Amino acid sequence: MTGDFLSLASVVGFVSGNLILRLIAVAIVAFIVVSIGSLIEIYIERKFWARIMSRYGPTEVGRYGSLQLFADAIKFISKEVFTPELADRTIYDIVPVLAVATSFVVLVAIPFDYAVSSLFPNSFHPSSFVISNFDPSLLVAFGFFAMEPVLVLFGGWAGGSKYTLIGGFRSAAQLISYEIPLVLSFLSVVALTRSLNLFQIIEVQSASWPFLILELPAFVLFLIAMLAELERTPFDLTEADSELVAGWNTEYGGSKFLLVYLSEYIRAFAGSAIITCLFLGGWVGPAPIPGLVWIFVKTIVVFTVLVWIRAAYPRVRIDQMLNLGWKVLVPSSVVWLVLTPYVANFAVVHHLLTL
Amino acid sequence: MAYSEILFMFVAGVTVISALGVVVSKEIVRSAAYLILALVGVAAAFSLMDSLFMAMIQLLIYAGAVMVLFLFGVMLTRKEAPVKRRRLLSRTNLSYLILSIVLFFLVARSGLMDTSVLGGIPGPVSAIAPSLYTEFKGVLYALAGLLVTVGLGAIYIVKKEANGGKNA
Repeated sequence: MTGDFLSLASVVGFVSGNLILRLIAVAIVAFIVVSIGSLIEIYIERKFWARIMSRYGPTEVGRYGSLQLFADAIKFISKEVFTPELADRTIYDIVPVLAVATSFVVLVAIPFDYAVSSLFPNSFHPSSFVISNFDPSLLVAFGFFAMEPVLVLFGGWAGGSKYTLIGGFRSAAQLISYEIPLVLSFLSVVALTRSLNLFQIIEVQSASWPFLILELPAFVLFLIAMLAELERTPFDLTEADSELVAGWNTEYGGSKFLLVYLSEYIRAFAGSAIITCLFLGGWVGPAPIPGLVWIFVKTIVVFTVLVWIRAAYPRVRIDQMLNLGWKVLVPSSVVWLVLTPYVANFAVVHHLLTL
Repeated sequence: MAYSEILFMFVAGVTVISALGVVVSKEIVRSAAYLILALVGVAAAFSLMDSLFMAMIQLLIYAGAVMVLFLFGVMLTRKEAPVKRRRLLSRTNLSYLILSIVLFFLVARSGLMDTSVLGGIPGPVSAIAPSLYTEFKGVLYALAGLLVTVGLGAIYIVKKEANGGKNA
């Protein structure tokens, strides 16, 4: 193993010479990051939420209930794989897989691979390993984010039940109407940095104030729109126990439900990571702690805030949600987008922003 | 052949086959699913031609947003596609024939020369904005006027119906 041709540097050199091997390496990195991230997320969701509601959450399996998630996963996998009688078989089976795949692709745009490669400055040279530094990487993230309403509609339709169909309609209407303020509010960050590349957006933030302060209204609008996009509690209208059971995914059971559930948490992780990169400076942080830890911890903190909002706010009605989206979020994000050049000018003059 | 060319052939094949599936499929929701596959295939073809921006706009707008509106319409109406037999020599078929001839010549022309200026620019996405806002300013204004007109028309129609509902 200590031979010259098997040393880490030569393996890295071989991998970085080949684009497909590089893509596979980055996919493995993203997979590891998102697996750890989703596990931590679900644990936070159960424990932190329980503490807010004066409960204990899972306590029995493992120390502090830490193995409960694995027990749940084993339970899901060991259940019977079934298809409802009225379901459209092919579409019903393919929707959970596509949901996980499209949620996972979003992570390609997020510079976790740079954060990993900067841990090994000598062997993994960033320029030879990093995939996420390409031009419209932010658009790639949102392009695949936008596939969710289609999958939701097909999942609800293929279940063959009227409850899942109505749940699918509601979810899709919500997702599609909140995409507009989402895109408009990140456009102001794009106008500020003059780049659609998340990598460059973070690099601009490393030399200026974080956009959380410079772009505070955009941050608030983006956070609200992202909550609706992730269908988390103030906006989880489809999870109406008495009328629609659990929305479009009611008819999914066993391992297929596990995939649907997993795709929700991967989306939540990707969404928190996008918020981190756009507004909180990504991997930027004080020196002794490496960038990977910063970007990861910031993402988890953003997710914890989402859980906190979930615990603190009641669910809105559908007319309230549509009013908020179309009458408040869309106009205010447009106004902020128009004001952004003035903010940018002010920030550059007062050395808050270096382009 | 480079692997990107093989990939392109594969993507193009999938797109054509799913476009056929849209027409052939008996169930209308299946047709919509094939249409989404075709649109995603076009996006993949764009990305293989080094135009990731166009690919993502295709995915965001056509596969993501327009198709959702289609599906709302389709799923709320009926499950099966109309199967009325039509005579071979009808006006509808004639219009299909004319449309396909026009499309064929458009495709043939795009093989000979650049049909779009935007398609000819290699390089960063930021190169699109200057050409869009200086060279094609007139087109942009015309489109903006059209959009405003359509928006006002939609508001007018909705308003009228709401008032009529109240009076009746």
